Amino acid sequence: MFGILRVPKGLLTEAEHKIFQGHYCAVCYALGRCGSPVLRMSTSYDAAALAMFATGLRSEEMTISLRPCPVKPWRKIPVVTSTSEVFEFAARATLGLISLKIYDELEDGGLRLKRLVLQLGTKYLQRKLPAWDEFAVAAELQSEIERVPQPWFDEAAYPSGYLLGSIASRAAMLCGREADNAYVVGENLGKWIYTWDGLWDFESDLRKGRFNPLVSALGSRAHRIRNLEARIFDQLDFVLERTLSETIQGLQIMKLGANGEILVKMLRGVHLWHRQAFVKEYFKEEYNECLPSSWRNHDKDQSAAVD
Amino acid sequence: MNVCQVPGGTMTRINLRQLINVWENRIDADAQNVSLYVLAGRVMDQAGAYQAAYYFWSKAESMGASEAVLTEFRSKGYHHHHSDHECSVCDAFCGLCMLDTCCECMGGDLIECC
Repeated sequence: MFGILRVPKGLLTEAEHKIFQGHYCAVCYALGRCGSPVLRMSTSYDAAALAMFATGLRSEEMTISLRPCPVKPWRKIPVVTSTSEVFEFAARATLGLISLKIYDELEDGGLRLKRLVLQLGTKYLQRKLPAWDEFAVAAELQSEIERVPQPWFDEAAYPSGYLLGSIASRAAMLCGREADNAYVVGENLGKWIYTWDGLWDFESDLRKGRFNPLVSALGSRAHRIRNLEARIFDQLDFVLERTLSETIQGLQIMKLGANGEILVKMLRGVHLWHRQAFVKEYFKEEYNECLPSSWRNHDKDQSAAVD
Repeated sequence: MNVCQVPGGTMTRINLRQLINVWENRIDADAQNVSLYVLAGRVMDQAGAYQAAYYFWSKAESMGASEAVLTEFRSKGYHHHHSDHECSVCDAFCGLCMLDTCCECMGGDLIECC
């Protein structure tokens, strides 16, 4: 799940990038306050996006100050200094997501040493996790789905959607806004992330014998991305477009101000980046008739954006 | 698990499998009724079950849903790629025509009437 949300180079203007970085660095500070400077390493673009979503919900004027970077103290970095409880919230949500990732890795098995390290990591994080039910519920749902012989793709994506939807609802509650609209935004974003994750991890999941929804839910018989059936790409393209469209529509309805505009721009840009990077990674200039036409029809200027 | 309450909200988990089964049972009772597939797709789309929506809409398309209905699907991003790494009748026909042309260039005639 981590690593799907990113900021492609040149996507945001300087002012927008300053706001985004201000949130990113504020989450880093908040993670350090959670108990240990080591936790700062878990700062992610996902956490920054969640923080931007929450500060947008507040509709307060943001204050950005220059502070020394905790990792590189000789550098001054922009940090959003207003609404600190929002960043504490984003930090705790990040720790919850990391613990879920660790749980998922443990379920997948692996070397004894790796599992020992992960178990120690879980014990350490337990003390810092928020007391929210949705992490345990999502983990249970995910395990349940992976035992079903042929789930629908929507069933497989449900736990991720439920988890991010619930986190977004909590953010709305924290900021005194309606939870249901926030849930729809988070749910669709979670499914969008899950779908891209499934595509990017397809080959490595097959190699390691792990659950992958393209195999289990969509019945792919391919062993490599390049052999994936056209019908699989058609369905995934539809799921990606619908979930992205619902997320963006939800963000626009919630009126998050400048933060909302930056998040919408980021999501559109990231989606395009993933499509181009995916085609470049797996298809290069060769046979790509199985891909939807919108994935194939990009000009050289757009290709350059991937670099 | 059928019910997962959303923090602070009123939404609960829809049991997707049950929802899909209900619609599949309705369709089984009247399998030639295109409008059932269209309706099932709309319900799934509303419920956020986009892959299921795609499944029902592609069935509706293959059964000859009207252009107006297909336009509605396409406005939501639906499209159906009609090649699936298999040779269609059209592909075979075009291949034969090309072969006949090459044959004629060499002095022969694969398909006399063409």
